[in-house]
Amino acid sequence: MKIGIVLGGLALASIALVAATPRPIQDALAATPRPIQDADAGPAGGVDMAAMAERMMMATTPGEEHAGLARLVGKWNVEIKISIGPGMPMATMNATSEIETILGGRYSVEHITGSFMGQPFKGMSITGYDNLSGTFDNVWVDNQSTAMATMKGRGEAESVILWNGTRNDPMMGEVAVRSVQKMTATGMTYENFHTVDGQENKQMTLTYTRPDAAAESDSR
Amino acid sequence: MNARTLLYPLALGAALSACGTTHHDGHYYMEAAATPSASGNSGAPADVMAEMMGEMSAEEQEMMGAWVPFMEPGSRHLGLSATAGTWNLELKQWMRPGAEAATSTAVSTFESFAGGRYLIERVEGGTPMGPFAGMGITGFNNRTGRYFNLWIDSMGTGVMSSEGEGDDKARLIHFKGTLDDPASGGTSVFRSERRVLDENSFLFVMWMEMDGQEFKGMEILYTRA
Repeated sequence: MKIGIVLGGLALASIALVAATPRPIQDALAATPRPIQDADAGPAGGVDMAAMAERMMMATTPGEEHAGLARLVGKWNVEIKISIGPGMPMATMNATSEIETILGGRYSVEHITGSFMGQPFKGMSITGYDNLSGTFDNVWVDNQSTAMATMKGRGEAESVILWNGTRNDPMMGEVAVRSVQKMTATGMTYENFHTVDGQENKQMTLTYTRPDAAAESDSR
Repeated sequence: MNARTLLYPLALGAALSACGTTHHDGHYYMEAAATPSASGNSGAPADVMAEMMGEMSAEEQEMMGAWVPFMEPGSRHLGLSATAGTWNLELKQWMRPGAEAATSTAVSTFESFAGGRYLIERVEGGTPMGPFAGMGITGFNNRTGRYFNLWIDSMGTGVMSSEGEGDDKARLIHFKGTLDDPASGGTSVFRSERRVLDENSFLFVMWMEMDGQEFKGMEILYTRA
């Protein structure tokens, strides 16, 4: 067990082994790190080192879920419909988004830029798929608060991710949020809900389309 | 049904942004003024603001009072933003209690994001296990009064998150968090500390647990490049 933890610790503590390498390193990063033997660890004490190494490899190697996230890479136009109050029409914000993969395809980063009521809106999210837990991870930060919102997601069908998490609210504290992400051949949508006092309400819908597709449709 | 529960923060936040710094107390105003480019909100004409306020119920105005201090960067964010730039890292790593330290170097670039609200770190280097890169987000949540950190890197596919308290006098932040543990297939706990030594250096230390025993696993000296 002890040696297993040592191996596991490598994944985390590997930052300490960093040495200078030429840039760019993104391509090289895509390769699975080679687990190294811990020379000082002594006999394995019955722990299956091969199995441990395999688990470490599994934990760090991008898989089909990561490939799925990578398909969203590129620029998007985003139409955001926002609920602003009971009985009121949904407000609309138009934004642009750019998604890229980082760290050897293990995570994707999205930058959203828009404006609402004449004011700049800026947000960033990171999405990943944790091979160990078998769940998607998402974090979100923007210029409308000082907090980070986090969600965990699980794949549902082939192109749907069901997200659950919390966001901070200065008056209500931690608020449960839920999002349904659907990916189609040409775009994707998010439907966001939050629950307050046991009541779930839809907060907003985001519709992603490729900029070239929008231009094509405009010219018709 | 409470009306406020239906108002999405974004809409409210935009309204707040439009009102500029009018509702700030001196504390926040000073900090906002210190980072003019950071906020990106130049404020709105007085008539626009008056119109907005006129349309707002007492409850909505109460919300605004809560959102301004929540969304505006303050002195803690300014402290984080001061890290922006390129840093040289000297690292020491211990695989287990009593082990000899493995030493190495790396380079990190910090930039502030979203009007100085968050600090983003990107590190690159190489290890005996292959090339290495990582990314972190650090912020200070005005609602909870706590710092938070998120870390991802090329040596895993999970996220490492932690939260902590700041000690302004000691110029340190103390985090506690969880990380993926490939050994158990679950998660394990860690704590870390970020201590400012002077304007051009700070020390990051991380303690991990092995068999329920805490030990120092990593120490990184950051020096401004």
